[in-house]
Amino acid sequence: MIPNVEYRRPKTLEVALEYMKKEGSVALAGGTDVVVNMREEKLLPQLLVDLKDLEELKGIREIPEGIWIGALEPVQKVVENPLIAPYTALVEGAGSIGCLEIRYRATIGGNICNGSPSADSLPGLLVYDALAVIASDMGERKTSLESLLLGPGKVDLKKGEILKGIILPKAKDCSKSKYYRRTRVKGMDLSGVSVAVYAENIGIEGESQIRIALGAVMPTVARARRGEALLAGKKLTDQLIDDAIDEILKDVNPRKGSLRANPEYKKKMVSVLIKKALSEIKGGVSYEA
Amino acid sequence: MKHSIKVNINGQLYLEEVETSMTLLQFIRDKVGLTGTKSGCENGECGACTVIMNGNPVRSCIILAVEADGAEIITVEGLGEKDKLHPLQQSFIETGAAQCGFCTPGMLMAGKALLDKKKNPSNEDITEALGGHLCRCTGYKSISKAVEVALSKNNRN
Amino acid sequence: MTFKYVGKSCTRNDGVEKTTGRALFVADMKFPGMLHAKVLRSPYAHAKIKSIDTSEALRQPGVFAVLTGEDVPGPFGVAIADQYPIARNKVRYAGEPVAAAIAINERAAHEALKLVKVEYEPLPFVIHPKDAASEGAPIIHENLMNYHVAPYVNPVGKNIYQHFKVRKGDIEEAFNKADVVVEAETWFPYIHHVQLEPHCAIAQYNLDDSMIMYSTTQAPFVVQSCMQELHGMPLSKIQVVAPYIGGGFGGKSDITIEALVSCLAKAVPGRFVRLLLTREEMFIGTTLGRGGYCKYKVGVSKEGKILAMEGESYLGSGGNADYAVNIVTGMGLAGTGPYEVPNLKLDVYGVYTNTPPIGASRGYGHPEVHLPVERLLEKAARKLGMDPAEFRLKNLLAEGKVNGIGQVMKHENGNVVLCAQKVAEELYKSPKPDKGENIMVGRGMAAYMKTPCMPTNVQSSVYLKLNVDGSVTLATGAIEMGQGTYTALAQIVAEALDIPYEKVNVTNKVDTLISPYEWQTVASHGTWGTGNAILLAAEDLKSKLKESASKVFDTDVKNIKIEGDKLIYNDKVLKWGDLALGYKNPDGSALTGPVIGEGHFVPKGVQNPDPETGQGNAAADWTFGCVGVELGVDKTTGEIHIYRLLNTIDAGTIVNPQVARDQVLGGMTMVLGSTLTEGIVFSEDKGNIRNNNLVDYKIIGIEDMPEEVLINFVETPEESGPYGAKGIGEHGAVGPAPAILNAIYDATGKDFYELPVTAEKIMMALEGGK
Repeated sequence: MIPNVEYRRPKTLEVALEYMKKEGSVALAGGTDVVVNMREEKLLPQLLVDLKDLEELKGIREIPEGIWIGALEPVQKVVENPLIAPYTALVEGAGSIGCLEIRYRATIGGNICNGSPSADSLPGLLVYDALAVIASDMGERKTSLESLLLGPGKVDLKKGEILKGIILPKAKDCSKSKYYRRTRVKGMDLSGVSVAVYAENIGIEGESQIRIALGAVMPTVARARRGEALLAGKKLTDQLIDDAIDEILKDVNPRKGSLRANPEYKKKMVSVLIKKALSEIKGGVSYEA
Repeated sequence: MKHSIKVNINGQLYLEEVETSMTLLQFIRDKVGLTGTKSGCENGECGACTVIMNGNPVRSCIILAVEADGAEIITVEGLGEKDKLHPLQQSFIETGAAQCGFCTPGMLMAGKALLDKKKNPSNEDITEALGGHLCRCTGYKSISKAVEVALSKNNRN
Repeated sequence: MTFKYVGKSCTRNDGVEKTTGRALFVADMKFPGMLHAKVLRSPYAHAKIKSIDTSEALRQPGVFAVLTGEDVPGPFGVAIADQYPIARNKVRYAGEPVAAAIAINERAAHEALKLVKVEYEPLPFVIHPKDAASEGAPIIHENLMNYHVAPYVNPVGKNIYQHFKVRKGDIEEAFNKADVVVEAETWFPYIHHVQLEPHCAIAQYNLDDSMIMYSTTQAPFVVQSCMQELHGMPLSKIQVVAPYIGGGFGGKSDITIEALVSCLAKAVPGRFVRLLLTREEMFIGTTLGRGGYCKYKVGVSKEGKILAMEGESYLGSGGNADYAVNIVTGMGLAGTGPYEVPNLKLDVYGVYTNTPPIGASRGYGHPEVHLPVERLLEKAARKLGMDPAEFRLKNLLAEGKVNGIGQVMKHENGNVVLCAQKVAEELYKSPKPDKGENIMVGRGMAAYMKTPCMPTNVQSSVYLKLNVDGSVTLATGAIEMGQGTYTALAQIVAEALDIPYEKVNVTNKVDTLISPYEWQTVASHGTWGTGNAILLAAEDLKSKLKESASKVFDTDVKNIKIEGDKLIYNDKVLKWGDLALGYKNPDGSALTGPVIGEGHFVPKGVQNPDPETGQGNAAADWTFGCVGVELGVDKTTGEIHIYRLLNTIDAGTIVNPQVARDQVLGGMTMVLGSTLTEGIVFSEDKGNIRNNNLVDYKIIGIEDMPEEVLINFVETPEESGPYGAKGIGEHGAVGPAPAILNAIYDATGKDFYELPVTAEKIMMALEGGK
């Protein structure tokens, strides 16, 4: 049952940061994870700090470095925002979270801070090298979003810190991306395995750059850098892609006993989904499994 | 911990004391006494508790009542007019979309949110709106049909 | 035959209530001073309870009582008295109640239970029925042979509580003659019904030895008699009320939480006590379905005739089997599928397992045995090089053929050949669609049959109350849980009395104190049994009206004619409503009294099957049909896309086509889930259910539904049914699983025999060549 805990809804970031310094404080945004975890008594906060009134954590807008997405923005708002449209893998990934009602409530910041290895917004954010903006009473720090992810349910937010928002670097015209995932049912489900692939100047020797992020196959959502390095600047051939996937799979070690998919299947799907995404990005040239 | 909240439900303002642990669903059902909204899983997974909050469909079982302070809520009881059924209610009856009736209020609210937001929703929009709403009776066909029927009536009027 | 109201898609009579949020379910009810209960459940699948200490829990503020197995009566059971409302001495499944707290609110009860100290001694446990029946398996009920059982139950010992046999012809000789013999082992996993409405019961016991209980039950009269058995109260003082039920599918039939809640109420006389299960508790603390393991062998001639069939089936039945014994019967009666098998040997065993109890589940033993039969016929046809549809048509139980239990199929049993022909024609009418290079398209079919498995003399009774405005109220003990029974029954009333459908109202809750007796709303028998009772009640009402009219007109009854809602004698006319409350003479004196029609129905001539051979008139009726599936298998991901779902069923006269079609589709959709995505997963170390929630127990959603669903009816009137009608509630569930597996074979060349067939299993087979 949901414990009857102390609840505060600060009006300013300053006050919120004060609360977040307290022992047992937990930030509440959309609540689609926090309330569920509290009900299951997996999460027993002493103080719930509802961030919903913090204007500093809102808004989706262009800034000099790219696009600002406030941590409190509901996932569905992000998915529907025209500024986000060029970031295909993010739109597709975030758009597959839960169902419509969940997406109206769940926030982009919450999806990140919940630290789930299968978070659907994260692969898309990682391939775009998104930055996290974190507030504390010491001021702000900016860090790569990837470096925030420490392990299942663990993110690198220190006591008293609040994720304020994220910055998406400008999407290059020559770039494309794609998100694929595998689930047990076609509708509302958690990802059993997910892949985001980003490419710019695909196939152009010396210029092409490919980024790949994987979900639900490692303790956190993560980039597949070894594979990316192999692909960088090269013309894509079936052999090269196979080699890159072999390299990627060296880092992939899904845990056993998952109810969503077994490790062998997950690994197989990493390969299949990467190829599918690359082929989609290339415009229909298919790479057979 | 107790909080005083003000919530507008179906046009009626309620000023109540709630504990942090009370969900919006419990508030609607137990405090306000509107039992049309159903509790099927308390986990946000089934959709039976769907209400419209500030214009958006949400799952009231995973929202704390205290979070809803200042919100405007519409439940199934606020769907039609006092003496007239909403087109969705009519179409659900016509197509037989309500069998056991337990998922029905959530389906109706999801349908209303869709019709409110989109003039000409596509089949994909209807599927997206009803997605994540579990029904074990119908096989869903009569439900999507009901939304289509209500939509075509809406557009004719 | 044409009808005025039967056969029309009349608008459901519960539609307004259910779309406005006004339909009242048990969890919507509140009573003065109502207390709340929570249950402490065993974390172990099998363990001795060494000690329980409730003292600290009892001391908590707001806590009224904490009960353990020692505080409640037992054992009880409809077929086998093998269960206690709260476990005593040992637990037999993870989730079995060990203690229950009653408190001022749920939270106080919940917190109190955290203070109950239970010491367990874990025992080895067994989940799969095949393992449970094997030598050396842990014994779940040590005292089985001494249990009180119903006459038709034959406990064998160890974990086997029932053995049902079907014997016909000489299988040894027939197998020797067979040109092709095929064998398979199949597994239909444990599933949950996933009714949207969680189980809930509210009860109050009073010191005059009366009890009232509101419950989410399909079986209020069974609950009533269970409470009588447990507590010894007079039946007339046990009021079980069942309002609308939010989905049953068998999982709210017989007894689930009611025995426990009755004990809770007895512990706090005068107070209402409510127990509302969480979704998680529904999985571990009610009944599951299926759990059928089958080992089958079929021999056929090169001409394509089935010569012999041998089957050994095991129904995993949970820690308390009780009523599962009748599912065992169902697996025997339907064990051949809809085919003529001249030489037959079937052994069906009911086996205790350390799972939650297995109870009724849409299909009742039929889907379990259709899986091996239909998979093997497909295999045999292939071996013979014969078209699978053609092969089926040669063997189907057409009129005049004899089924596995010796019943000669009559015209009224329905035209299974036509059903199969129609499905085959539709399924194969055009070439397989091209769905791209990664998709392998396959088609499969499965014919099916279904009988209601029920006691030989199940009772249905109704009252028809005539009102002064000429409207009629139908009082029935049947439950409306979504299947549209109140709509169909109202149509039958309208037809029988020749009054407008809109003038018939149905009591929207069942109350054992005042509702006429109805066995329970299961076995797809409502339209048939209750419908028959309505015909009798309508006749009774009309004859009583004539009798009243004859007094008014002072003539013989036989001179009174009924036309519409009028009673006519020569040129004198009375409206029915004029007599509803009785007729008054001009001087004010009463001449006649109120008019109520009564109807009571029991099937005639249904017998218990012979205990050694299973032969006999043991099935009240049969319904036949055929399922067709077209699907695609993505060879890169193993994902299955269902494109077309076809079902043609001969369920007699269809009372309401819209409702009937959705019943069939609902049944098919449920089993689509069991086949592709569902199935209870038990932990290997403790034997508890790992996917006891909707996050990881995935039922079919709207996105999974095929574009094309085509359900057709062949309407051969059922002689024993009202206007030729019979049941249709479960039938959609029988055929889809083997049809899908046959289609997967057609697409991939891979044979699957165990459900669910997930994408990863397909990938494994495609890669490993399994």
